Formats: sequence, C-alpha cells, structure tokens
Amino acid sequence: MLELIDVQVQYGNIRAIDGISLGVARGELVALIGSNGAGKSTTLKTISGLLRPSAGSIRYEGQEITRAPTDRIVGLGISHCPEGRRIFGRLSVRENLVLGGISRPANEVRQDLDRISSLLPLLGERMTQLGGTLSGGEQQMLAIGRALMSRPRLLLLDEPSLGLAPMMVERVFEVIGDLKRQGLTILLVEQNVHHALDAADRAYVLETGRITLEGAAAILRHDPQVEHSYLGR
Amino acid sequence: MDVYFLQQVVNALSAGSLYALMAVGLALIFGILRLINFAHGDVMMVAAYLAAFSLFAGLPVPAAIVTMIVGTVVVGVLMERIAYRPIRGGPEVAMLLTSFAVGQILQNGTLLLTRLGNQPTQIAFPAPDFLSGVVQIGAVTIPRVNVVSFGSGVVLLVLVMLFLTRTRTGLAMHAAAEDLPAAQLMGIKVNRVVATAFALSAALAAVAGLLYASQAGQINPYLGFTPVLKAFIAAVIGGFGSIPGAVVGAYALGFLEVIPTALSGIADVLPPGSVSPGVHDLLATVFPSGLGSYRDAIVFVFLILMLLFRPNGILGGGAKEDVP
Amino acid sequence: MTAWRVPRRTLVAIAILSVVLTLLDASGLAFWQGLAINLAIFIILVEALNLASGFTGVFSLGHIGFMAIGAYTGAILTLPLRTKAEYLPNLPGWLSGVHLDMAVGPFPLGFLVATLVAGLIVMVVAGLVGAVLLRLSGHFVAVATLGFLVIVRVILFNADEITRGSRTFSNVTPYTNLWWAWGWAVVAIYVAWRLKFSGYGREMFAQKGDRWAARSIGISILRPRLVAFVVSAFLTAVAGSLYAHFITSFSPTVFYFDLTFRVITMLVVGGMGSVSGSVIGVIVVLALAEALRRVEEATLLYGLGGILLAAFFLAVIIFRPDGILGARELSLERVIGRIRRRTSPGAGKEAPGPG
Repeated sequence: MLELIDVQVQYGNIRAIDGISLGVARGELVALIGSNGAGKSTTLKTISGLLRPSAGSIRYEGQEITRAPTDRIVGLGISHCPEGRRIFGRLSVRENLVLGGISRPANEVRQDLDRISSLLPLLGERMTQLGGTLSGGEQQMLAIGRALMSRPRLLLLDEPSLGLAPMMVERVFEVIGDLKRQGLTILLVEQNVHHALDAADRAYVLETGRITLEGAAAILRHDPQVEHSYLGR
Repeated sequence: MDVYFLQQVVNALSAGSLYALMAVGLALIFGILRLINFAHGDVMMVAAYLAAFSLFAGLPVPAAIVTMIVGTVVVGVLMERIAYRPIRGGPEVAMLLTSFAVGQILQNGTLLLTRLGNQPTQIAFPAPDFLSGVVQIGAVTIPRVNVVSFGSGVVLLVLVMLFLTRTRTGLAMHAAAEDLPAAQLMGIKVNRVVATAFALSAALAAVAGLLYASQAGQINPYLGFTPVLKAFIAAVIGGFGSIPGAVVGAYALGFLEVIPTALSGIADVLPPGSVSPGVHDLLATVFPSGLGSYRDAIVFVFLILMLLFRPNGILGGGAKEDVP
Repeated sequence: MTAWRVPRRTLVAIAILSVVLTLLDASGLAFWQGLAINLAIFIILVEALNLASGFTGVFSLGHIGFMAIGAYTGAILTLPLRTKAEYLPNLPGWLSGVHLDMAVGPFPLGFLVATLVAGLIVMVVAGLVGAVLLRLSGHFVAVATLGFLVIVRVILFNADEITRGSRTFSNVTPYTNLWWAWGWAVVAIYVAWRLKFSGYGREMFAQKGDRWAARSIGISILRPRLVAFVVSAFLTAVAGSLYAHFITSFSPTVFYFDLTFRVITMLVVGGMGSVSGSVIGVIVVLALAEALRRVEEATLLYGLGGILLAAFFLAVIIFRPDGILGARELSLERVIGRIRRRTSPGAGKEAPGPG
C-alpha cells in the first residue's frame, strides 16, 4: 500500500534520512523503532508532506506522492497523528474533531462524530471541554480521534505513548489494537519498543537515518541487538 | 460640560470602531502568518480612492461601495500571492520589511494613477449623504459619520466573530493561527485559508477606508500610515493575534486618544472656585492647553509601555513571543 | 582578518579617495559634487544602521529620528547670533545665546563642535531609548522604534519655538562640503569595521545567531546591543547635522518614513552585517534612484520611480535576502580569483561560491 524507495531528507546540511526503503501492506501494523533523533518522526513528516525528500520516491497505492502537498495526501486517505499530539488547545474537543474531518462533507462528519465518540468514550463525555484542559492521555485520544475523522485508510501514528502514564499507555494500545482489527493500516513510530513489537506485524529499526534491521515483529523481539539496545536485557 | 463629555465619548466610540475594523484585519493575518502587514493602511487608502473615483464616475452609492470592496479584496489577495507567499516561513523582520515595500508600491501606484488622471495629490472626498451632515440626539449635535461608523463597526465585528466561530472556514483559520503544521495535517489548504484571511481583512479595511475618508474630508496617497500604526497599537493592547482582543484594544485606544484632547487645558475649562488654586496650577502644568497636539506621541509612549510590560496585551493570550 | 592588514590597504584607499575628492572639488561640477556629498551622507546612515541592526539582527526603524535630532540641534547651534534672534525669536534664553559659528582661520571650528555636540546629545537620548526598547525582540522592537520615529516627529512639529514646527527651517550656513562629508564617512566605515572585528563585534554577531544559546554561555544580551545602538545613533546624528548644513533648509517631514525606507533598502541590498556591502548598497540604490528620477521627469510618470524601487527591494528580499554580500566583506582576492576562474579554460565548472 505504501512504499518508500531510497528516500533522503535534508535539514540544511544535515542528512536526517539517508536512503531508507520500507513498505507497508494493506491491513498491516508496521512499527518503526529507534532511539531519539534516529529520524522516525522525520520519516512520517515526509510521508505526510510536511517535509520534502531531497531524493527517493514515495508511493501510495501505486501513486507517486513524493512531492504532493499535504492536503492532497490527506485526500488520498493518509492521516498523520503528529508527535506531541498537537491538538488545538484553544478549541473544544468537538471542534478539534470537526477540524479533523474538515475535508469531508458535513453529513459524514456528523456520522463520524458519533462513531468516534463511541469508539473513544473518553472523548464523547468531554465534547465541549477545551483541548488545553485535557490530560495527556485524553489529549492523545483526541489526537487519534481527530486523525480518524478524515476516514483514512492509512494511519501514521507518531509516538502515541510519549509522556503518558503506564495505564494510559495500555488504553492507547488497546485502541490501536481495535483499529487494526477493524482493518485500518497503521505505520507506528514508537519509543516504547515493548508495546510496539507486541502490536505490530512487522518492524523496522532506524538508526541515524538508516534502516539497520527489519523483519517480523515476533522475530525482532528476540533479536539480540534489539534486546540489548531497546529492551534493556 | 455634559455636552462636551458626550461628544468626546462619541468621538472615542467612532474612532474605536475604525481602529477595530483595521486591527481585526491585522490580527487575522498576524495570527496565521506571524506577519505584521504594514501595507494594511495603504489597502485602506486604496479603498478610499476606489470609492472616490467610483463616485466621481457617477456610480450610484451602493454600486460604488460594492466596487470599492471588491477592488480592495482583489488588491489584498494579489498582494499576498505576489509579495508574501514567496517569503512565507522566513524571518519575521524580512516579512515586516516586505510589507513596507508593498505599502510603498501601493502609495506610489496611487500617486501615479492620480497624476495620470490629472488629479492633485490631495483630493476632496465626495462623501455620500448617509455619511455627511449631522444628527441631533437630544441637545447634542453629532456628525452622522460618527454614528454610522460606530453602528456599522459593531455590526461588522459581530458578523466577523460569527464567521470565525461558526463556519468551517473560520474554524480552519483558528486552527491555522494556533498551529499551522497541525492544521495542514487536517488537510486544510493553507493557501486558501491565507487568501481568505487577506480577503476578509481587505474587506474590513475597505469599510474603514470609506468611513475614514468621509470623516477626514480629504484623501491623499499617504493617509494610511498613521491608521495602521494605531491599529497595530490596538492589536497589541488586546494581545496580538487575538481577534476579540483586537476589538477591545481598539476601543480602549479610542478612549485613550480622547483623554489628552479632553484633558488639555482642563484647568481653564473648570468652573472658577471648584478646585483649590494649588490643584488648579497642578492641572495647568500637567495638562497644558497644547497637550492635544501631542496626542499621537502620548499614544506611542503608551504602546512602548505595553510592549515592555504586557506584551501579551491586557487580556493576555495571543502570540507567544519569548523575550530573553 | 588580522588587524595589521587593515592599515596598509586603508591608507591606499584613503589616498585614492583624497585624489578623487580634490579633482571633484576643483572641477566645479556642482551636480557631481552634490551627488558625492549625498553618497557620503547615506554611507554614514547605512553604516550606522548596519551597526545597530545588521550586526545584531535587531531592527531599528526609528533611526531617522536620531538624524532629525542631530539635524535640528546642529543647525540651531551654528546659526549666527543675529539670525537666531530674528529667525527663532522665542528660543529659551540659554539657547538663544549659543552660537557655534566661530572659525579658526578658514576652519569652521563651530561646525565641528556643533556636530559633535549634536552627536553627544543624541547618544544620551539613544542610551535611554535603547535601554528601554532593546529588551524587546523581533518585530516588536521594530515597531517600538517606529513609535520612536513618530514621537520625535510629533515633538518636532509641536516645539515650534525651537524648531519652527511645521514651517521650513532655513538660513542654515552651508558648511558641509566634500571633505566634511567624506571625512565623516571614512570615520563611519572605520568605526563599523573595527567594531565588527572586535570582541564586542563577536558578541554582537553571536547574539544575532541564537539568542538563547548566547545567553546560556553567559553573554549578556543587552550590552552589545546597547553599545551598537548608541554608537550608531551618534553617527546618525552626525549625518543629520551634515545633511542640515548641506541642504540648508528642511522640515520635520524630511525625516520620516520615506527616508527610513530608502536607508533600509540600501542596507538590505548591500547585505546586513557587511561593512563594505553597505557602501555598495548605497551606490547601487542611489544610482538606481537617480536613473529612475530622470525617467520620471522625462515621462512625467511621477510615482513610477517609487514603485520600481520598492519592487526592486521586493525582488532582493525574495530572491537574494542576504543582499549582495551577505555578512561577508568584499575581498579583492576573491573578486580577482573569480574573474580568473571565469576566464580560464576550465571555466564552467565554478567552485561552489556564496549563494
């Protein structure tokens, strides 16, 4: 469904991503793991069009989206839930969700508001609350709900567990599991390798802009390198 | 004395409405782009000229107003497309300087066109009837244009607030102003939102231009400079980037401006014997009769104080500018 | 750039300049002399603004206010006693007695003293203004300084016992000639140069790059900015006094936004932060302005010059925001090296240059 071929991304003189190739098949949950600064978020931003690659190509369902503008990418069915949640603090939960669906016709948005509220009851109870007053976990739920409002077929999730208490992390991953079961394709960037590899079908390990390991999540979980660097054993 | 007081209040409300129309436009653009559009005053000036020439050409008043608004909106959107879009995301100061250059182009362009039309630099403005003359409210005589300024200002501001809070485009603007990359991820077409912001702010400036020209009686290509500075002050008072703040700041500025004029020479206006000689002399020193003409300087000192002590305005909120 | 290199080159440059000025002086071509004086005065203004804004990245839009104060102060001080009594009858007592129009032989000492006094007064004002405003940053300081420009103008318009308000201030003795103008221009260039390559200069540039990083290493933000600001105000005031004694009649409207924009255009075109760039910027913009003025007069399309100049400025900001030289200095070796590379057989494969 999604293919990155030899993609390179530069920040000024620094090459943040140095020729990576990866793929996500329909219905899969693929995890992208690695330490801080490895380039994971940069990869997602390049896919969603916030950044432009300096070389390489990105294909989605056969179409070239390498240099496509973000609004076209969203229209094609890719939704990016950004790192740090980035919800609109001065707007209410409901308004945040409506914004998520702003590229969709009004009747769909109404249906989706109901759908998301039942999927994420936490949000349903707080529709009129201002985004900035929500807790970290609630904000993450809102960010995910908002990303779902555009009825994506591919969801890019950037570090959903960041800064959350263990119980909230569990709940977030429950939701991710639900979404996968419903057939949503997910590319997940995570520092919490334990949860990421549990949830994922396949995974890639990213180090300083390059892919160093890839394979089925089950196998990677027992890979000595991964165990040593990320799972602390 | 009461009559005088009432007239000052009317002046303050009328001026405040004008500033509010301009300040909201500035705040809209600043909120999304972090750009202080100093050409905004010149957009207002262009509107005044469009109105004047439409009226000279014999167009009926409603048609002239429509022409003015449409023409100004076109100018606003073109301005963004040609001058501001290429430097979007660049350093703040570069954007500020660009807005000055755009202003110069508008000023000189208008000058050129008036010359080509064999008109002098300063033209008398043919204010339409509903903006001329006076009205009587009880014992007070008020220029009609002041009343209309206040009324139309309020109506337009309410409409703008409704637009921003109730419509999809308005919501998109909020989002873009708060967090532009996140807004992009929603699939919001940033270019369209920005163009809409410029169009809306130009339309408001157009109305302000018509009102200003009717009040001033004369127009020249350089009339936009001081209003845009005042509008900027209003926006700062209200917390730069905040729309409601800009409105509050504008009316606050309207009243603030009236104070030096009202207080100048107050010692002479007081009925004899109402205050002790010591107080009288104090008032005469602090508020000499020439104070009114220093009004603009006082207002700017106030701006500087605001920037120093309350950069986020009276209401707080708005752009977060860290000062180390 | 080591210190010992500068003196030899400078001496050569000054020698050449002196020869040119002597020839110009003797030629009697009033038009070119006027142009040369104008050039010098703008060089001072732009180098001063460079110091305050270009080095530190903090934009001062109010600098022409300092020029105005310098102009009026210098002019009032040099007015001969009798003229002063007739022309400015309501001057406060102490001021009406001062007349710096004395000369030592052919040397107009009074003019020099008046100019220096104007500069010093402005330095004090700038110190106060700077201490207050330089705590702000980015566009806020730009607008606050613009406020200063307006405040100065309002005061000049209203204090008409001293300034004659909105009426033209004339009868100023035309002391400014090629030597004064260019003498001060050389001083301005020298001051800017030395300051840029000094300890202070490094602090200033550091502070421009990353405010937070500089702060964290313990470099105070306010001091370098303030020093640059005050020195630059002094030079601007000097330019003001020179200007006043050049055009001999002026009013507050001269020292307002159009002049500000012109100086900024020169600064940006030349490259903010480059001392030699400022000189180039002045030459380019003055040449362009002069050419456009002639076009305007020939075609009667008044206003066209302003449009094209502003459009030129836009083009520079959009396509070459660093200006011609950026923050670097003109170096003869590099220019010669480039010419050589262009004309050599291997030309076409040019080494990566600045861009």
